[in-house]
Amino acid sequence: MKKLLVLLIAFVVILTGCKNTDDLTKVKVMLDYVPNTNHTGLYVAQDLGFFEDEGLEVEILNPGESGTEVAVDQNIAQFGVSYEENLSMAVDKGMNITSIAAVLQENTSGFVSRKESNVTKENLGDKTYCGWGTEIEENLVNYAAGKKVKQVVGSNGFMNGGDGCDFYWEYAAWSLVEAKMAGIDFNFIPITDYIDFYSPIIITNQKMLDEQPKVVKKFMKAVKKGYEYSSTNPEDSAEIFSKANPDYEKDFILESSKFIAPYYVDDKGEFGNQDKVVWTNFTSFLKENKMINEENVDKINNSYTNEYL
Amino acid sequence: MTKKVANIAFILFGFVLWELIVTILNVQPYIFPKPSDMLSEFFDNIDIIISNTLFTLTIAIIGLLFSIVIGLIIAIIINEVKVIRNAILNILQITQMVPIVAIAPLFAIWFGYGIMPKVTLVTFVCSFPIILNLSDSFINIDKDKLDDLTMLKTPLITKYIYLYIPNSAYVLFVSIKVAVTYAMISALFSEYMGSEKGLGLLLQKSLSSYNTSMVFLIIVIIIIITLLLNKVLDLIKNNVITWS
Repeated sequence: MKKLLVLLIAFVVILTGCKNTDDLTKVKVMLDYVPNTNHTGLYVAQDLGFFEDEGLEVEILNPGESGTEVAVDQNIAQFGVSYEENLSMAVDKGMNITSIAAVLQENTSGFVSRKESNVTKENLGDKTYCGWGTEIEENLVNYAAGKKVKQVVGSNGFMNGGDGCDFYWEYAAWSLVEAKMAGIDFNFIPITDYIDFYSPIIITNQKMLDEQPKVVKKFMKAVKKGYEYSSTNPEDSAEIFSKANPDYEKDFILESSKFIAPYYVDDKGEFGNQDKVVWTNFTSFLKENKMINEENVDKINNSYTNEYL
Repeated sequence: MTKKVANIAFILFGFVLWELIVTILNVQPYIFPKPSDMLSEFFDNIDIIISNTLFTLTIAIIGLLFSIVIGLIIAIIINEVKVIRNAILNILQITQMVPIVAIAPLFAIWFGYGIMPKVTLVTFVCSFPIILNLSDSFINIDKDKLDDLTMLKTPLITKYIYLYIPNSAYVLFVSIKVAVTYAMISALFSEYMGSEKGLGLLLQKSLSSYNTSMVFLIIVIIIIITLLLNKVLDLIKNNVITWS
């Protein structure tokens, strides 16, 4: 009898389980990089069922070598995590993608170096930079240094070090927290000392905006809820992030979450808003420094929206 | 002659067809570039392409030369010390099963970003076919001739210069030909372990910047260079091996 009951319950669970997923709209969101605390809101929305509440079944994908922007442009993933500079570059190349939210209200990235490398704003140009090798990144580093910097692609990152690199471009909430916990002395030059732009952002493609604006709205509603929750509950959301990504040290994730929590929202406690001034300033900057084609300026300026928040 | 003309005409026809299909389907260049996109990319960046190609070619050629020398030395050693022959060949075979993706980043940590780790990687890949084929050919040497030389108390080096190597020259060239095919590709890959120059770096940059025309262009350059290296090797072979 007991066995039968268990079987029956299992059957019902499976049945309802199937039914639920059938009703849900399946979408994919591709990250910009390995999972990190910039993505906490997505994992929170996933774990606490915010996506399900909106009738969505969301799959979080790691980026492939081919890049997140093109995956979103080709609708392989309906949503993606990107950066304003990458989106600008991609739109400049002809992609039809749009930024629908800023993940962080302030750009917390910057040039980080070990103290012994003795990197300052003044001597950037004489040091070796190690990065991931996009055109626009190379140009921005050269701009910051005021001259062509020796740049290596394919380094092991700031924390691994020991690879002949002097400075790296990293997120404060990630590398700086990690360095502090490891007791490494470092110098940090915020990127906002040179120019401000949104990093990271959430993107989607024109096809989604044209054909399924409701899905975009629902997705963003859940994402917004996820990040706003992360902002007020950094401990809980660190726990949720660690559950989804058990490879990282839990203590580190907790510290990183506490650091980044205030940046998810603006002073009204709202997630995602993008300021027109930031967008257009950055586009003008890209144009002035010939990092994009002049005829694409308007297109890039129009490739963000707050409509779906 | 007519064969050559037909060959070229066929390749040209292929490019024209490619251009037409991509134009008609209106595919964006970042998805699938046209030959004309590649050509304009080439002429816009000719200086960058040449300097990066030379860098990668240098690594490939130095690595190739090293692998010939090292290949010869190892083949001779395991031919002379027959007890270790199988052990060494087995070890070498195992090293070839190590995924390069896994060790390339470590090479950068061990040896830094200079040219040395890159040449090492190329040598690591290219010496294998040379050692394998040479040692095989050495062991199948004409026993009577070898006995004659041994009876005459010929020094080791003379044995190799007059008997072993001339006898294995053909095999040597065939295995170098295999190595040449790997040389450019492994040189390209060696730049993935961290580089500030080279076609591998340009490839990475172009991929992450959605510059697909450049990606295709680099593939074409690699193919052309490998074909040219093969041609040079054939020329050397035809002029060196006059006895067989």
